[in-house]
Amino acid sequence: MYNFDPNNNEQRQRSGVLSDDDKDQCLQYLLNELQPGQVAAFEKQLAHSEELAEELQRQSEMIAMLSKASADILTSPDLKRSPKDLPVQKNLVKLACFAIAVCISGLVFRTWWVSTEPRVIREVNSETLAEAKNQHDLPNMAVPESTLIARAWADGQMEKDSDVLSEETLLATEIKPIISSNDEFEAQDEETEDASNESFSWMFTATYEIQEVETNDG
Amino acid sequence: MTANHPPPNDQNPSAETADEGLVRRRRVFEETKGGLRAFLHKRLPQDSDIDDCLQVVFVKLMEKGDGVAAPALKSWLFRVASNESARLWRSKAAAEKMYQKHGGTEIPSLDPTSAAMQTEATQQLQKALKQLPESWQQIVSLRIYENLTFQQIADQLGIPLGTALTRMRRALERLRKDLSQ
Repeated sequence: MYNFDPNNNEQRQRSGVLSDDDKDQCLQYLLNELQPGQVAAFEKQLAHSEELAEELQRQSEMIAMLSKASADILTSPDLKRSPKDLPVQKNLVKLACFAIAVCISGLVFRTWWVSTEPRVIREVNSETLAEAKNQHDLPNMAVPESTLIARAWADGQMEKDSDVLSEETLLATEIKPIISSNDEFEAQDEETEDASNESFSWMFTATYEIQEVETNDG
Repeated sequence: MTANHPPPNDQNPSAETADEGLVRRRRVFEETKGGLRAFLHKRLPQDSDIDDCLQVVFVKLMEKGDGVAAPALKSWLFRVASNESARLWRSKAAAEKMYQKHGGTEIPSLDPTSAAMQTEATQQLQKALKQLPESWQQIVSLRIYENLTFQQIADQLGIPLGTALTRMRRALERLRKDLSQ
């Protein structure tokens, strides 16, 4: 509640400008929310202030219009919202926030899981390599990692595909280097080819291993 | 806040009889008469005109005031007083006298509460209301239609009293501006 001070308001009257407090007083007066002393002071000011009378007229007109239109406006769902609905809205917002948090957590967990997956594969590979080492009775000397990978892969292929792939298929497979006569093309793709050759070199080694094993067996 | 009147929620016109309604409206008029007189003071220079105007306002209140919601009754009185003072002023103008002398007919009422204008104004008002910020709509709804005091609204919404008042005032200003366009 604002303290109504007629002296200050009279000063403002002279300047012809109504303050926000004056306008709020006007609103409270029209809606019966002023105390008796404040009502008397306000009416005294109203009798001498044209600006205040105009503000009172403007506000009273709008309030009366709003009241007249109440029957129609009350049927509008947008305006029928009461404070009782506020907790429901707040709960809905909380629920939505919780759902978003769960989704974000899921995404973070999935990202973490994907990032840990290669490590698991690496561990499996190292186990396979150890197995391969034992199977071939290799001494504990330095063996290139690519060779170990190739052997492990070849062993797997031998076990899996012995029934599926015929010997003819494997023997008939010839690996030929791709030789291009175009120097420019070679120059452009030199780096790419190097990388590809490096990444697939173990497959060549593996194929060699398979052939070697078959030759020894046969 | 403690108002000099009973809480607005106690003034429920739908629950009162016709006689009770008349008594209530008469009481509201008596409470507002001083303010209405002050309001008319600058508009109608002669005290006799002010008395005439107040008489008309009282009659209209008794005849039509039963349809006005309790929180808006005081505003409605000021609106009627404003319209009546304008009508009295016009009736005193020389042109008006000439028109009455030669035409012999009463001037058409410029009361904006006529049915057609009221319907159109209501539609415009609804449209304008929906365009207000939601927090302003809420205050208007709670104060005018739910008949809560500003202090009750502020307590329920957890906002300062001044904020509730400011939102209501700005809502009225915006509505007035939108309706005048």
